[in-house]
Amino acid sequence: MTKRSRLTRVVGVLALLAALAFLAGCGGGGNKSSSGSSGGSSNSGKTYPVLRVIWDAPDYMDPQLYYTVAAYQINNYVWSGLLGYKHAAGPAGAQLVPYLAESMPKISADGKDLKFTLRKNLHYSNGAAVKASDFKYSIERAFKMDSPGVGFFSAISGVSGANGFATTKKGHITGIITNDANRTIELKLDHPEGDILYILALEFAHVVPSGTPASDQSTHPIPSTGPYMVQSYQPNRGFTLVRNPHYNNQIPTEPSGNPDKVVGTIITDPVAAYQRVVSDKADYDFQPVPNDRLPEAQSKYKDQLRIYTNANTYYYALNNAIPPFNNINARKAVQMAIDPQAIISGVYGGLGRPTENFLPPGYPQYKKIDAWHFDLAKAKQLVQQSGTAGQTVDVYGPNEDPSKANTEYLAGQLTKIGYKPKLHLLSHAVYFQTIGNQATKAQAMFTDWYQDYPHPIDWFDTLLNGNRIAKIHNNNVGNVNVPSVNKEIEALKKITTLTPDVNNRWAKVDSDLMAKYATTVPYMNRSSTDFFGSKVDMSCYTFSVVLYWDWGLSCMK
Amino acid sequence: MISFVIRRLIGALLVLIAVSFITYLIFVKIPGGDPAFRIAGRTATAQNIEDIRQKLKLDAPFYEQYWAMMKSLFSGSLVSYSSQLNVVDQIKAGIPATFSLCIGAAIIWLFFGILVGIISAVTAGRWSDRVITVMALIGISLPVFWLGLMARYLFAQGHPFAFMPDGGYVPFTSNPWGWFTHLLMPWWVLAILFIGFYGRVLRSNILDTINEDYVRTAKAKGLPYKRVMVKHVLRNSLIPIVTLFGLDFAAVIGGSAILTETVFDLKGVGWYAAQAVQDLDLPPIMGVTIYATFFIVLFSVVVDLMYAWLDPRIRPT
Repeated sequence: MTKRSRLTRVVGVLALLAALAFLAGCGGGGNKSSSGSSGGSSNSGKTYPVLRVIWDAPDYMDPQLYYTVAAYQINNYVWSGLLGYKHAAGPAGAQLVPYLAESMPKISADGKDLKFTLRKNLHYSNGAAVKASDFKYSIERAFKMDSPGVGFFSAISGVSGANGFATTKKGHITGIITNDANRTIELKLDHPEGDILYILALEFAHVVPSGTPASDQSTHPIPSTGPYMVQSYQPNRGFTLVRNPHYNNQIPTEPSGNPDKVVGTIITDPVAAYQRVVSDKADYDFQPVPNDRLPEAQSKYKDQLRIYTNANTYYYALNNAIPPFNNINARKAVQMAIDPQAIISGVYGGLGRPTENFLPPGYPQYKKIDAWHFDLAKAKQLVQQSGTAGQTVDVYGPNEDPSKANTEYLAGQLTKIGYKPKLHLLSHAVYFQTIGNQATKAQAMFTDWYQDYPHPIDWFDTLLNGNRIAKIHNNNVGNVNVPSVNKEIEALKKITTLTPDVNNRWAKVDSDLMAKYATTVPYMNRSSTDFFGSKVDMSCYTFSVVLYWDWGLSCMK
Repeated sequence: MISFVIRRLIGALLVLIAVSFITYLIFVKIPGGDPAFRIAGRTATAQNIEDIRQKLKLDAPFYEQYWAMMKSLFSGSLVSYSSQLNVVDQIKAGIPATFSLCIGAAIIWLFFGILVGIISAVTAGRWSDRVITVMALIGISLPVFWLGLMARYLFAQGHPFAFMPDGGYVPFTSNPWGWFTHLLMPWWVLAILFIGFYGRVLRSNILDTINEDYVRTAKAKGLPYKRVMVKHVLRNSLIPIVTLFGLDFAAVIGGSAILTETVFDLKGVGWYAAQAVQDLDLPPIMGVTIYATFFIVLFSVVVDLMYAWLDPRIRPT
């Protein structure tokens, strides 16, 4: 070996070591360990040190911005609003209870004035006091950040119109009047809003300290008011929640939570996520168990598996405004050509429940509709009667499974009843804005809806009110427009209290739109899975219609 | 030498500008939808969408948008349209996983590629050469995503074994053993293609070089066989391998190990690029393009310098 080559090898080894050292330096982004100090109190007596979860990527970790289930489910124990949901299993979980407010608001007779009082001695996780004016600041912050939630606040006085805060973003929202000394918050509305209390329980109305920058703070955790606070968050990688040291059970209507610490690892691949839990490297799998592993999970790990159906509806939107589906017989034909059970078993691995309702089960307004039966011969006959047989139908759907396979099923059934479907499969990034644009002239579409809050307004007004049809960014993608039903929706929107009579009226809206006018083809409430590690005590499992798996109530064997 | 480096730097800058501009044009022309609508969400108001559009200058001419995007990229303030996350921060966060994957895989593929090439050339025509040739061709033909999924299925998901971790990245500093075990399968999956390819190229080069006049002269002079092979044959045969390695390594460091990173959920720069393309999210696409171009240009300069070292007849001018 010559001197030169020996030197070269030494340099090579040093270079390799330097590279490894660099990697070591770069790789320091892991979670800092915490002793899991239990500054907050617990009211269940089942506390334990750490909950290790496999989670999906939250869109944000900032209450004025996040909108996905992944963010909502983990953060509902972090930030709080004036109102929140009761932590209870089943439909009881849809009940609103006061969180930061000491009681439910006093609402004026005309429904346009709401008065709240904050609880005494509320503190953020950094020790600062919670002020009434922080609520106003939080709503204004949402507008300044162009939050996806600002549309919900349009009824508050001073928000809408040319000089409204939504347009100018200057000054303050005049319809929110706060008094820090008395801890009072008064909300004035332009018109009565039936779902206003539910809107105030949305994450977009959660309270953050005044002065929090009006920009995404996901990676700079905002002080919290709930039992937990975010200790760290690395986007797409993981998060750690620890107890809020200043919580002191300040929201008695919300459980203090059992785990002292929650360590979340973000894994978007359902197979890898499932495997982590199987090998007991994690306690919970947020991702749905993959279809091909479901039989194994249902037999080998059946005690660790729960199948749930949250508030969602999968439906085919038919464009009621243009041929062929401006003809009621053509729409009825599609209703009869769809076999929900075939979709559920063939596309979704059996994880779903057939439906003909637009509202999901579990709502007090839900009354089961039984109007359609799968009958291809009858469907063909209806197409002939409608005079639309042989027409071309532009069918739209996302280009990824299972939605793609689902859309292909629709196209296949349309062929069978005498149409000539033309399939358009689009990236999810552009799908909803494409079908929401009237210029697209989509005739039949795959679509779905997951509740923002458990109120029929979130379904019928947002998605099927003909008065809300827009040229672009149209959520009523089927252009459903039944004047008598529109009128009823407008009337019901103003009613804040959901009495049995009001619930029956909402049920009739569902029945009229789905059965009488056959405007839309709902076929499934999709189910999903909660899969747990062997150390988790399943007797504590609580599933709420709003909060999903209530991880704060979990306990270990 | 200094003028060579300066010229290459100027060239690199021009390449960066050209590549970024072309990438920008391609993705602006693709119907990627309205970023303002994607940020605002399905329940947004028209006012909300308009505000976002103004904030992002989406109504400005495309060259102004390009300039604004490049300015915010180089000032470190560029954010994703779909997640609002800072692009530079996300690329930095992906670098440890990408570098760990690429350096480890490169060591494996370079070592075994050279080994396979030498053995194959030295034993040319014999059964060992034939076996290696078949294995190399199989290695070249195996799609990375299939190989990765099979490796996970066989060794991490209990069919029949489950002794390897099933994807994910563990930082070296938090757990060196976890770092190693999580990367072992991705290293081999990424390296196998290159081992086969490098082995074939090196075999061919060695067989060409071995018949050169200067090799015959060295043998005639009575130099030991090992010395002839290492000093005269291998050194000259390695020159094309250096070029290949430089460009391949730059490409995988620059994010083209997309499939390996995605299959093994490594969340490196390649994974980030794949997510961005899937979401038609222009800012991260631009960020990753600039990052990849930088490494490709850098390594092509390094390759030129290595050429000069390996073959004194070549001087960077």
